[in-house]
Amino acid sequence: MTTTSALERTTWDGRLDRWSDRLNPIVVKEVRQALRGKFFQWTFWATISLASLVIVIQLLSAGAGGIVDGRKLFGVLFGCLVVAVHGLVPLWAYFSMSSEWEEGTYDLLVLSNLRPWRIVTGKLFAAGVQAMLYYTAFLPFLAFAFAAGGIDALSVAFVFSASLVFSLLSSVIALDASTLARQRLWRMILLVGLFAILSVGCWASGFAAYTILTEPALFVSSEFWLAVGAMLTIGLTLGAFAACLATARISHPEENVSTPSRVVALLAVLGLIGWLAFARTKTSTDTPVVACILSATGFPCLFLLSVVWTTEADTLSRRVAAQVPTRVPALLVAPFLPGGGRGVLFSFLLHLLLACGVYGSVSGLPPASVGWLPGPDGATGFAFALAAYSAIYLFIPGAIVSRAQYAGPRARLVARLVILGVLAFGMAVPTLILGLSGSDFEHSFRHPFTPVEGARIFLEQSVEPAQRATYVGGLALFVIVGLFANAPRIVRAVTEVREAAGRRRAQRLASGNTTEPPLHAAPQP
Amino acid sequence: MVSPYALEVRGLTKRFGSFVAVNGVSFQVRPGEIVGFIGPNGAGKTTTMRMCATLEMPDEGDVLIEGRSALEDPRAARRRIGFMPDSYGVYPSTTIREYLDFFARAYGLRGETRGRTVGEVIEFTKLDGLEEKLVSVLSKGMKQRLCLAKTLLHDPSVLILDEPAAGLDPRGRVELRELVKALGQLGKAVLVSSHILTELAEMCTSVVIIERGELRATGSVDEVTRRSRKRAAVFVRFLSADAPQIERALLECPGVTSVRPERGGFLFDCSGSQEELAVILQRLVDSDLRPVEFAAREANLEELFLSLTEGKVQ
Ligand SMILES: Nc1ncnc2c1ncn2[C@@H]1O[C@H](COP(=O)(O)OP(=O)(O)OP(=O)(O)O)[C@@H](O)[C@H]1O
Ligand SMILES: [Mg+2]
Repeated sequence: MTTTSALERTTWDGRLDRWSDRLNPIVVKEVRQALRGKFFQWTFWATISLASLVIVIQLLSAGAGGIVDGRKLFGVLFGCLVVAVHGLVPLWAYFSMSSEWEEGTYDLLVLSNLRPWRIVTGKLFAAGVQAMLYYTAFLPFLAFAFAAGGIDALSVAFVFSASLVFSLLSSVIALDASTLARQRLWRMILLVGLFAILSVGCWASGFAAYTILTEPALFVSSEFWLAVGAMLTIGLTLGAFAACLATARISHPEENVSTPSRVVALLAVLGLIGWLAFARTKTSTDTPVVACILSATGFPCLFLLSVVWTTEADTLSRRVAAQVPTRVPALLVAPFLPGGGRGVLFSFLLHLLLACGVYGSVSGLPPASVGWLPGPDGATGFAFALAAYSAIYLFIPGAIVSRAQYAGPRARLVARLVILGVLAFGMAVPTLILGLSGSDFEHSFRHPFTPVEGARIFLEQSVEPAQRATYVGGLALFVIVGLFANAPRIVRAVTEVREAAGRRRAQRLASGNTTEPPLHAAPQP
Repeated sequence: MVSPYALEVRGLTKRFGSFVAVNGVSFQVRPGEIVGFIGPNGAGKTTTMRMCATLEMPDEGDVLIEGRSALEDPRAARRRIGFMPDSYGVYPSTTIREYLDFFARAYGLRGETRGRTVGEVIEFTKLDGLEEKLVSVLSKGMKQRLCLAKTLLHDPSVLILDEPAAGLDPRGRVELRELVKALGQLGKAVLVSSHILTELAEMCTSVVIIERGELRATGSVDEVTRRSRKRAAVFVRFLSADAPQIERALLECPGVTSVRPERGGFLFDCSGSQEELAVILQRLVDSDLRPVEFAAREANLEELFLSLTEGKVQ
């Protein structure tokens, strides 16, 4: 080798090295291991062989009949691809995370400087790289089918992008599932559950892809894009939550793992409201319907998340206390910091925000043209009723169980189960009593303890205004009772933040301008 | 506030359910000090070390790394700690160089520094020439060295090594001992647990003895010996093979409280005064047991361990 070429090589290597420095190390490691591992090799070649077989069979049958049906061929090939990128790749992600525990490499990994979120995103990107490998490998086959005609390029581009997003979403959910349990038995059960979910996902996405490919007319309808927007919002939120939860489970227990999920929830609620406002610009008559659908899905999700936030350990961990912002007022910061009392405050504000958002986006719209469809008033009442039910079922039992102080993980689990149990009892027991006392099936569900009845009261136009007013009064009263029951906790929670910030300010004054020690001294050995 | 200690453990307590695995353990390690962490199986060594390494949360107490609480800032602590667990796995289909390169990246080493550091730790742990070997096929000894190399990548100031010598052959152990000593000379604080006490005695500057989660003794080997055993141990060997008779005779001697067989002879303990030894020796010579060896023992870690712990496995 001549000196110049050697020199070129070293500069080239150096450049590559510097470039790879910016990459998440997990991506490099995972992709390398995947490419060398049996799981990927086997499944990759198996799917490629399957796709080749499909082409060969099509060609053979076309040899007899004359022409290849491009649309059908494309659909079948895309089906193979869907199984790979929506089924196999997420499964690989699940195994790659769980192998850290199974192989005993987890401890060394978390001790390194890699932050937990980088571990999760690294594994997610590695899954993305694998999905891209599959897309690339399928390109020639799909190009062949495309050349046979019958499909337009826009549908293909759309289906490909949607499929990549769905693949990443499935992978992040798989990663989340893999951090749920560390015992082998639970992992097996989780794997079975995940397998079922991924199978349904593959089937649904395959079906959706087929519909889109065969009905290009969809692209011009505004409903289609509204639905796409809604699904993207839900998908992104779901993915962000899965990533937050997975990150939280592999973080040091003293670290703040609650704030990210609270921020994501806030962004999701803002996203929903924004999307609702956008929907209003497209369709004024359907907006209240859309608002009702959003409330019916949004509030139960908020309820479930709030169960977690409101049952966190009440006191700040030392790590979080040492990080409390000192410049922002405590009342502003407190809702975002971990702790059950702060969780109550945060979930109350978030419920209020979503309900007000619904009100804002439907107010001033004309009443519903069709009698049984909800108008703007119906949608607003529905949203506030759901928010009130959610808050009541959260805050009243929550205030009682919070006396247990949520000492350990087990106490917290019990508190969560109690809150969910109270909701289940509140809905089921009166129904049972009404059912046993001879009410008909429909009426046995009509009791004021269930959100279903509250929703009906506000949606049905035939309901007497007086009855509606009774509900408004009753719900408001119980929400206030719930807030009062939690008031000492909330005050304590905010005071704790203010005191922690004060301590930090005092410390900073006392020590002058302290600087952190350097992260990395020169290596010695 | 600058702490004189690289690692300071304060009243560490860990419960698993109602079972107390570690109970109020406190000790300190200075830079350059090599501290042996000793205790019978199930004493709580691994649990304590994992708490020091921020992998396990203590129920009470604190761990200070260079004066800063590891609970208040676990990330800063993790940057200063090198932890070698007693059991760990390696990534399959990865070579030694790739493995170390991955961890160097994970520790935030960039560009040339990374390449140089990986080269240095490979050389330091004598893994050179094996860089392209797959880690999954390494022998136990090589794996231990690889893990040590990984532990040194980010130049930690506190090293916590949980039974690094387990499973090593005699040469491997000697080499490991030299490596640990060299690390101590580089100014690192080393906490090392082991069951091979002669090993520890040769490299440790001091010891921490723990049993059933509780601290039994801390200090330099000599100090602990002096404090824990005011009595002397004496080794005797006889031509006679009648063990029961020998034990009986020894126990009848003035000041002797315990006798146990050891390496072809017997070890008994007494107050250690010269007068008393003379009387005992005289008695044995006069008996028909025919003593051939009689030597007061230098205290060693093994005896210390046995005398301080009760051998109860929990
Ligand atoms: N995760 C756990 N759950 C329950 N008990 C545990 C757990 N980890 C450790 N223990 C118990 O704590 C005690 C101390 O264990 P530890 O592993 O710290 O002992 P050790 O001194 O390292 O023992 P060895 O010399 O055998 O390695 C043991 O009785 C063990 O059974
Ligand atoms: Mg151990």
